[in-house]
Amino acid sequence: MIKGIVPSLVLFLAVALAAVPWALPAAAAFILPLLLIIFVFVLAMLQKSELPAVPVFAAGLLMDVLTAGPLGYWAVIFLLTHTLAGVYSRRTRQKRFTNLWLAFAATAAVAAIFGWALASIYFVRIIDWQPMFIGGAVAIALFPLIAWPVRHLLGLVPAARFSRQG
Amino acid sequence: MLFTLYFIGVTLLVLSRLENSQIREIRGLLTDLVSPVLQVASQPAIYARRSKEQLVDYLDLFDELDRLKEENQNLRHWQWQAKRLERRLVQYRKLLSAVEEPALKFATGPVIADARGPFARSVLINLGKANGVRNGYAVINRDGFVGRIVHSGDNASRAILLNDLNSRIPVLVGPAAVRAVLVGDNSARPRLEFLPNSAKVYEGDEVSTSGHGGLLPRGLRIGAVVPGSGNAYRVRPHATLGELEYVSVLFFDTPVVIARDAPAGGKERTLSQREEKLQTQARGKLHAKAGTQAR
Repeated sequence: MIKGIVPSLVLFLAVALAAVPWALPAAAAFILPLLLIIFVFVLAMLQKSELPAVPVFAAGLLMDVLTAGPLGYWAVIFLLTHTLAGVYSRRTRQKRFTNLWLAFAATAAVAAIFGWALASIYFVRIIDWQPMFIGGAVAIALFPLIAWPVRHLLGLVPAARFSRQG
Repeated sequence: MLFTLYFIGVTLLVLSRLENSQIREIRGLLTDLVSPVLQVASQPAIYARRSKEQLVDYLDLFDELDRLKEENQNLRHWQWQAKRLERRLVQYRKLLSAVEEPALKFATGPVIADARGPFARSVLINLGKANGVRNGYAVINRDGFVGRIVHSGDNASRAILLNDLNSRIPVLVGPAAVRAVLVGDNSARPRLEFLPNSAKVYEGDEVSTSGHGGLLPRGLRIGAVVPGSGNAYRVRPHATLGELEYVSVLFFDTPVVIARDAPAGGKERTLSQREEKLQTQARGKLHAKAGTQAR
């Protein structure tokens, strides 16, 4: 029971930490929210049953409240990441780390493009694409640094199996 | 289930776009609920920032000492000038019989969350209605004006920054005090718009609030003019908007602010008026009784 709620708690904690003022430059506005999709992807893909869609949606809503954006924006992006992670998890049995990273790169790219398109539709004008895509690229680059400790600290995957395959 | 969640998400987005009042209320309620958690969560960020600042200060110690000595020398000169001007101002005020301006009250609190993403440039401040904060109040830090309160909850308030897409600030530009409007566009440097055709604006001109519209106090320093693309001008804010740590909310009550955000103690005020009326009636009866006794 306790193990079951740990992934959700980790995700909510990550959302709270992503919203606090870290004194990042204005151009880096997208980096922290897009780093959160690493948590969604890793937690959802490895033990999907332990991170259902509802807490992912709620974490996205919390992000919307904390970032003063429209309600539903990050909720839908997180949900999309969760769905894509689920699709990859169902279709692939061999979860080598390189493959996982590639799958995340594709997911992050889709999430960034979707986020940019959704924001453009919301504003009814084409918004600047660069910050969103820089955020996506940073998330892809930092994936190993966040994914590896999250997987092992939470004990979601036996460490020996992971290191042998990765 | 998944489809339902997507549907709820899209519906919430549409309602947010339509600025639904219930959505605004829910957001305010949730902000108040999570503000204590954010206050705790922001401690590592505040500690990390202070440690970084202390390290930078330590590395620059000797250079900083030289700079401070020079600055102190300059400030002594300005102190003398200021005292001289202050004396002259007192004399002029007496000559004009001018009414003294009341000092602005303020409350200072930490920034516990800042906005990320494409939508808003705003901060969440750990001050709310309980501290006397109202919608429309100006928010400043040590470097000048940074934004204004758009939602005051019980314990936390949301302030939009002057570079937010929805921010429109009436300003005065340069020594000639040219009127203009500072328009945010989510970039680091907001645009100067509605400048008169004949206006002469130069790079480096100081920009401050004009007080027009009756929402903000006059004369809050904002930033300096920098050239934009084409013939446009932009403003580089003095405050580093991405690194706000502590901010002050100015309690500047104008009819506009009061009309937009009625005092929270409305019931209390009605009660005290009623009490006052009862007391007046009681006093009247007492006087009448005293009069009768005297006769």
